[in-house]
Amino acid sequence: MAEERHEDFPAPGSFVIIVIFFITFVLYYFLNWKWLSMIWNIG
Amino acid sequence: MAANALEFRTCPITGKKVYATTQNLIWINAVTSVVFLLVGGLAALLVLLTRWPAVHLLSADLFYRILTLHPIAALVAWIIFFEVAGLYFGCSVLLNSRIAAPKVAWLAYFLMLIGAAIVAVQILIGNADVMFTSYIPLQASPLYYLGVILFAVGALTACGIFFGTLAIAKAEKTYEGSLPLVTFGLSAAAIIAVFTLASGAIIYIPTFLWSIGIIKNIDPAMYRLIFWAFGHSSQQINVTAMVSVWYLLAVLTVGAKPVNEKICRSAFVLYILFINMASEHHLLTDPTLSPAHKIANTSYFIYMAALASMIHALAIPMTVEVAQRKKGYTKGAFEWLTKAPWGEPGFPALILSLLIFGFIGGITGIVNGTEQLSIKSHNTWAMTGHFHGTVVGGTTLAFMGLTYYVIPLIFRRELIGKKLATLQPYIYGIGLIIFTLSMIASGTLGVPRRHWDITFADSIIPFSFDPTAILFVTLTALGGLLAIIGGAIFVGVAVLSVFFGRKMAPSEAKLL
Amino acid sequence: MKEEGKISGWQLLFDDISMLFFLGIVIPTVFYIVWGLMEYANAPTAVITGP
Repeated sequence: MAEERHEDFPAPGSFVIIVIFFITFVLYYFLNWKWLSMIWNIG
Repeated sequence: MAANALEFRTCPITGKKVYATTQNLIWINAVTSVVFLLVGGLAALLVLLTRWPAVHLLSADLFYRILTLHPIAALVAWIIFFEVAGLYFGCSVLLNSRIAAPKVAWLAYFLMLIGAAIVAVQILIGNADVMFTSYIPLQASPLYYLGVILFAVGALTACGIFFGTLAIAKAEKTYEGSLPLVTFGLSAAAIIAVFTLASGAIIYIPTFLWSIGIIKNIDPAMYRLIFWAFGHSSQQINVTAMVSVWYLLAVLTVGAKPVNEKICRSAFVLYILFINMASEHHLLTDPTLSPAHKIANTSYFIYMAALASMIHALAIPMTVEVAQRKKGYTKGAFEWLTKAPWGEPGFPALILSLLIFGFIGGITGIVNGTEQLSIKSHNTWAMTGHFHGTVVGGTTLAFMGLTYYVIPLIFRRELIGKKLATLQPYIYGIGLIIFTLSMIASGTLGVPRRHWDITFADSIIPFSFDPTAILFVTLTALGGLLAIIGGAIFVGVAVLSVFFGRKMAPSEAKLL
Repeated sequence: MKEEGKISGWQLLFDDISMLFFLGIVIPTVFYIVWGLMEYANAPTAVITGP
């Protein structure tokens, strides 16, 4: 019985670039909220 | 200038019809755009050398004058003239169609040129020290507002020519099926442009009437609301046009085709529906507007447009990668990228534009546009760093890359200084990376925007920034100087090639 | 232009530039401009008191 292989994702390099982009986004977003918390005290 | 409206040649590479009227219109708008880029670049140099405390070149009033001129020339005139050239390319060349009403297209050009010239002169003679935003109650001379109105009417007319040509192409069946993706993207840009320019008319006409005393008062808050419907939406035209140019550059540099056109078109539709609400982020620190209005516009709606940008951010590298893998570059995850045509100017322009726009401009834009976070960046250099990342690193660099194809393929002139042209995107792009990152860092440490002297030398209450902030300001200046050199190389290569480049025979036409 | 099979509704929308034009103008006009102007118009007028 022939095994059916899933087709590989056609652009693995682009996927890596996008993952790096998302990590950068999350980091920058987190840093900005952190900095805001340091300068804007509530209560 | 006068060409038979039906006279055309056939591009030996693409097989597309290039009508003589279209070619002339593309030529005049593109050449004019580069002239304004030169003006904007010179203004940038003067502003940079003043903001750099070690040089501090201009006096205060001259600084604010040149700071008004710089965005008018660089952000408005260079980009919109280039986009009009792009619109004519997208509706006429890509659809094999004659252009609708060439005489009206020429009228549009002269309206834009006269309007931009009036605005520039009014600024330079000191009649419009109001900055690009010209916020009420700052008042410029009536001629300044009239110049802006003329420019906007000209650009709106050009959009009308674009849509008219789409209608002619459809009626005369010059193409089959749906619009090509690049033309579809440019249609999205043109729709956004109509909203932009109509908003501009809605706000600049009463402001003009106010400047001549017919209207007594204009509410500053309402001015800001409608101004930014013009002001930021004009940047969204740039984003949409830039993304269209990315798809075109992917075709021209590596022969790429979109992997899934439906998704790419959906992303452009998301732009059409939602991207204009981003204008609200300029009003996040304004009183009166409710959090509901602020958050609905800058979060819920704009994130739909941000989703579209994410789609394009994946789609474009994917199209390049798939095309390169088909050519046999399949070793590892990145041979498709390492073996790409980095030695041709178009490809590094595409990749650097994508990376700078995405990583620097895009991320900072979404963060700055978050209601709570914006208070940290508002009125600091972090804002300026963001939009130089998007417009200067993203849009301008993409347009520069495209120019290196337009000159041989449309204008049929050989590039002069091909080696310099190859280096130019790197010089410009690396300069901009240093410039924008340093500027954002400076702004995060509190360095203000639109400020003549951050040493506060004349201030009664002394203040000095942390030395780290001054370091980043210096790095901003050095990166900016490198980018300006890159810009100057582009202007030199483009102008010399267009006017003095060897005329190419049709048989010599090839991609770079 | 019908080929084999139905043209999807999405393609019909995407091919209809005038519909996209209409939506692209109306949506930001309503949600950004008109809503904003309504908020400004309904804002209470400030009253200056004191010496």
